[in-house]
Amino acid sequence: MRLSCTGLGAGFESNGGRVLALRQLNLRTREREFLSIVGPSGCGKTTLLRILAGLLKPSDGEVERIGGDGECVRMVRQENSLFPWMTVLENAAFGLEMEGFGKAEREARALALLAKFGVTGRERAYPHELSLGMKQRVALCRCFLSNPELMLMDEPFAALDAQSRASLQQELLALWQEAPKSVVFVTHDVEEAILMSDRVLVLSAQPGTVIGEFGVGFSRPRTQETTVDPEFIQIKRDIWRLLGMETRDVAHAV
Amino acid sequence: MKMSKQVALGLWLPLLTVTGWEVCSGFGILDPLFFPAPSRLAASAWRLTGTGELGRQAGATVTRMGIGFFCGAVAGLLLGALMGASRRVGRSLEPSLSALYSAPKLSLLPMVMLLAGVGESSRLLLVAAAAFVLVAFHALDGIRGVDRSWVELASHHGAGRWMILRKVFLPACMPQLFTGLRLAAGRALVVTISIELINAPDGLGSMILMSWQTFATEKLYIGVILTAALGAILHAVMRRIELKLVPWRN
Ligand SMILES: Nc1ncnc2c1ncn2[C@@H]1O[C@H](COP(=O)(O)OP(=O)(O)O)[C@@H](O)[C@H]1O
Ligand SMILES: [Mg+2]
Repeated sequence: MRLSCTGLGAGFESNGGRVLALRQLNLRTREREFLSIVGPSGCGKTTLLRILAGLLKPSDGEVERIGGDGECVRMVRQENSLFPWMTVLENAAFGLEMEGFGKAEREARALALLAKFGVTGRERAYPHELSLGMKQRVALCRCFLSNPELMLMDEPFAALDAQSRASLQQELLALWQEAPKSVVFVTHDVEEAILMSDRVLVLSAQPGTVIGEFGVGFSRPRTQETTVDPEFIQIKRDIWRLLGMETRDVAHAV
Repeated sequence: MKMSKQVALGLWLPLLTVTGWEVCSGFGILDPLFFPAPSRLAASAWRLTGTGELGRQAGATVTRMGIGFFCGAVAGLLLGALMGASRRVGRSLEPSLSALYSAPKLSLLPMVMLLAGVGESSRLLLVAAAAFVLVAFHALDGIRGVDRSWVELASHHGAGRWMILRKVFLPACMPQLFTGLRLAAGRALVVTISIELINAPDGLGSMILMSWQTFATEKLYIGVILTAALGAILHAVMRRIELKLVPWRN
């Protein structure tokens, strides 16, 4: 399944007037493509993902779903990604449970995937007993178990320390490569975006709109080595320049 | 923390008080007529247990409190849920509930007796009312406080209305509900003892009142200590149940 959005706009009523989060945003996803979206904090990335997930209606434009039999879209949130009152296993299997799978089957499948993600021995723990990295692993498991046609990830690693982030990036990529699906991965970390993706979209400061697009052709699997490739560094520099120009514009405007 | 360690930590102050009291009584510092020594209280309590009086009085209080609390809590839970589910119902009943909340329950006793007679039912009604308002308010707060983002997360994964109720609302308002239940149990005990001090044929409160009127100091102290112990036990039991049913609350 592919998404095609044209002229997306999103605004929020807040006391004091209308806040524009997105403006005239165009975006197309491709089959089995890992697409990243980078943009400064507050530029409307979460809002965009919520619109793509169908959780929020855009105030302008529309989201068209092309092809695909189901409409299974699943999102991994940046925070509060797990229900505090469910154990790790219950959280991971929640999607399957809602789809009507029996207890034995859903738990077996969840356990297998959790093990693959290195979450073993903590199945009966509650989220507050887990590290942030573990929580996000469980949330990713729940997402993959639903076998969605499109996965939306909202800065899933943003709050992690550099080491856990690097290992989670690799684990996610490894799992994704086994059966590539369309992914829209939001981040404010430029290096993360390039390392993970086939294509990177750059958003402007609020209200967000696409100001740049970069194809990333490195072969997979990619490692930390990839990040020191001259071409990688060049893309990184270009994106930084785009983002930097944006902040300078804002500075002028103020 | 280990259970035994917890109990030990909680008991040092009562034990210190009792020891100090005993020592002072032994040296004749305290008048035994007004402050009987703990050892004499214990002996006397033992005797009263033997005759079955203590058990009967404590049993009457616990039963009165238990029935009142249970009925009040169930009614409060139902009303709180209803008020939480429907904004209209919530808005239209909140002022009345607030009025009942702030009215000192004992001040209602004469009125309730006029309506429900001077028997046990009036006493139970008042205990129930005390538990009822606390549970209703906490259930309402609990439901209103459920973060919409959990509802969104559940429905995003395909949960329907019933599943959202079961998997999100019910567990999410549990901590708040338990706070309400714990407070309500404590309040039910206070109201029960207070009613017994005013008008009841039996119960610890009535025992304390009778002892006061007949100047049976030892029995008076035993009644008060037993009441306090009952409160502490009640609190501990509620905590245990809460830990079992709300294990995700750290
Ligand atoms: N529910 C909302 N009500 C009001 N304003 C909102 C709401 N959600 C987001 N916003 C505003 O929209 C803008 C974009 O928010 P968001 O999409 O969360 O940005 P990002 O995820 O890129 O940090 C911000 O200025 C934010 O304050
Ligand atoms: Mg965000």
